[in-house]
Parts: sequence; C-alpha cells; structure tokens
Amino acid sequence: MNDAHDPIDGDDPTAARVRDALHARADGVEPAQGDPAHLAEAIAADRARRRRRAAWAGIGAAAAAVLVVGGLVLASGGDGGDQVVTGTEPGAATSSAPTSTTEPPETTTTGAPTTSAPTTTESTTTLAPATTAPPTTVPPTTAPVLPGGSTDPRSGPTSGPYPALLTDVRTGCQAGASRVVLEFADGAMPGWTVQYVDPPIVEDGRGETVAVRGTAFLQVRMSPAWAHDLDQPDAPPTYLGPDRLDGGCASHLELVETGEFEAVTTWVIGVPERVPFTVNTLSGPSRLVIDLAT
Amino acid sequence: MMIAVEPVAPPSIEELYREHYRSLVRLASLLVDDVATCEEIVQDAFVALHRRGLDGIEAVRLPAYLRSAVLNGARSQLRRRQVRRRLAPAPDPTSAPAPDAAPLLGPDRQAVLDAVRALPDRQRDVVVLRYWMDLGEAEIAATLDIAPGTVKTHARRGLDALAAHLEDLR
Repeated sequence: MNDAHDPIDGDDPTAARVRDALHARADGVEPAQGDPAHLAEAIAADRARRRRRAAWAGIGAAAAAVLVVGGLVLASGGDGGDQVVTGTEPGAATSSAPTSTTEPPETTTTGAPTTSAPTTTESTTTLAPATTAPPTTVPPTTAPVLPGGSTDPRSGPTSGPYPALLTDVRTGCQAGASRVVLEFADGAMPGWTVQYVDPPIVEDGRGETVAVRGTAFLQVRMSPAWAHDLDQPDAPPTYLGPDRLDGGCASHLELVETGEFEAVTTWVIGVPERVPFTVNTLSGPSRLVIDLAT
Repeated sequence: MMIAVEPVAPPSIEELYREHYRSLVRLASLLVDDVATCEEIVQDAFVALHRRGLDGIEAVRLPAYLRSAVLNGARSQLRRRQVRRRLAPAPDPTSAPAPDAAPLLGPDRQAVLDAVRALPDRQRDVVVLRYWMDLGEAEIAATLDIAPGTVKTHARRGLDALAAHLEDLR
C-alpha cells in the first residue's frame, strides 16, 4: 500500500496517458544552456542587484550617521571651542555659523561640513591636511599641494589574516585633500599598489573595458584580497556597497571596482588630472587610506 | 591556500548544476510552455540556493530542494499566465509556439498536458513528480514537504480529476 504499486498507479489507463503525455513533452525539450558559466553569470547579476539594493539601504544608514556625527561636532563647537573644532573650510563655516547657534540640526543637513565630519577623526591620526589648513590660511587657489604627496607609484606589504576581505569603501572631501578609504575585516591588510595607469581601464579577469569618468586613473590593486568570503560555502559578499561610487569631490570623480579575480581586487579612481596622492594604512579596523590633493 | 579557488561559485553548486539542470528544465517544461522561461525558472532556483547557502541543507536533500524551488517558480509563472488570460480574453500572443519551441505534441497529448496544468497546485506537483520523475511516495513527500499519506490523497484526486476531465473531452 505504501510503495509504487499502490492502487492509484497500477494499470490505470489515465495514469498511462498522463505518463505518456508528460514524457512526450519532456523528451521534446532540449535546454539550450546547462553550462555552469551561465550559472556564474546569473549569480554575479544577482549579486550586483543585491549590492544596489544594499547601497540604497546603506545610504539611509549613512545619512542617519552623518546627522548624528554632525550634531556632535556642532554641539562640541557650541560648548567651548571656536570654529577650529569643526575642522572644515572657512567658507562653509562662516556661512553656517550665524544660524548654527539657533537651530543646529537643520544646518547639519545642508552644509558641506557634515560629509567631512566622519573622516576628520581619521585625519588626526595620520596626516593633518584638514586640521592644519583651515585655521592658518584661506584655502589655496594655487597648484594642488599635499604634504608628502607625489604622483609616483606606491606599494606596501600584506599583514594580518590572509586573504584580506574588503568590507567597505568610502570617500570624503576635505579642504586640502579628498580621501578614499578601503576597509578590511579582522585586522587584515592586503599587499597594495597604488599607481596611475593609462586607459583603457580593463576589468581584471573578464578583460572588458570599464568606463571610468576622468582623464587620469589611479589604480588601487590589493592582493591577496577578496570582496567575498570564499571560506563560506556560498561565498557571501563581504562588501555590500556599490561597485561604482560617485567621488563627490573635485579631485576624484568616480571610484569603480575593476576586478576581483584570483585574489586580486582592484579599484580605479577617476581623477581630472594626475594630482599628487598619499597612501597610509590605519588599524582597528584596518584601512587603506588614499588622499588626493585638491 | 585559497588563491586558486574560482571566485564565483563553489564547486558543489556547480556539480549540482551540471547534474540536474537539464532534468529540472524538463520538469518546469511540464508546467510552462516557453522553454526559455523554464530555463530562467531553473536558473533562479540555483541562484536562490547559492544565495541561501548550501550549509543548512543535507546533501541528500539538495535535489529535492531544487525540485521544489522549480515547481514553485513554475507555479507562479502558471498563475501569472492565468491572470493574463483572464484580463485579456483575446488570444495570448505569447502562448503561440515560438519558432524554436519544442515540437508540438498532437491534440491528444496536449489535452492531457493542459489538463495536468489545470490541476490544483499540490495535485499537479504530485502527478508530475510521480508520472514523469517516477518518484516514490516518500521522495515526493520530502520534495513537497508534506506527509506521505497526503501524497497519496493528492495523487488519487489528481488522477480522478484528470480521468473525469479527459472523459469529458471524448
């Protein structure tokens, strides 16, 4: 009663007709695909879709964070300090100063200071273009200057766990420099090379040309580094943001992932011209910080 | 240690894909006319499995998991088409066989196929798994996540409904 020979099967003529029709249909179907490469493509497309979705969610979270941090900066400024505390360019500070005393929350959403607020905390640990420039002089209208910066290639060694997993990519604008930060999980730092490369920009592995805005292209090459955790069976992405970021600053136009192939992850920064840059590493969490002169 | 690993898909899901892709497309084709749509349904099932991760599923359960995902995908396609038909009684251009569609079945077999597609969801799933995949009761139960006794009920009801329907056509 509980195996294939139960009464509903048997010699039932309907069952025979159904069986015949289903098999005739299925036998006539010849799938065009079946190559795992197609699956890989579909998975990549799915990943890109989810990244876009996560990016939108991230924008909401980032906006909230900016509000909070911006509010803190303004609050501390109102307590005891003067505009040096804000660490932003004088132009923006003067324009927002009169209103900031009366209604701080609103001014944080409007002005440029909020976008640079999170990165100013980082700048104090390594290099100090933002903290030194504003109090002393008016922003330079002369050639771009960045302490320690040059257009020469730079590179550094790997350290920590292996391979490094990319978790975040951020940009920020400051008075003397604009900044790109790549963050890695678990204190890992991949070996890195940062250098200007000539177009066309080609996606590593696939060999397809990638469009990047700008006329000069600063390539950030990290190895061994992935943006996916291959130790997990389904290799979930560790970096959920978009693979194309609008730089939002004068000195870098766009930031584009151009490869994640055989443990080499590359991003390219599109710049209007070959401006001097510096590269620093920070720990806790480990970050690769690239500053470009503006 | 892992530099040589291919970046996109761990081999296990590729193996599954190689082994089951074609039969899953055929399974979908029992419910959905357009073969390209069937391939999409199967592709989606694999992508969903990849996204979910193979971790939480026992290896032996994976084929059943995929079958069930394909049946679900095919079902929502069927439903969409039914809605479209209801909204637009004029002949649906997409139901006309594409030039590269599977060979026509002939009126008798097509009538049986249409009748199977018109069955209630569970009955249709059971009938297809039983009479095309030749799965036993336990396997069908595992695929659809229902009790073995329920499988039998659905099978009998489905077959009865088909018999009545096909008798009417005569």
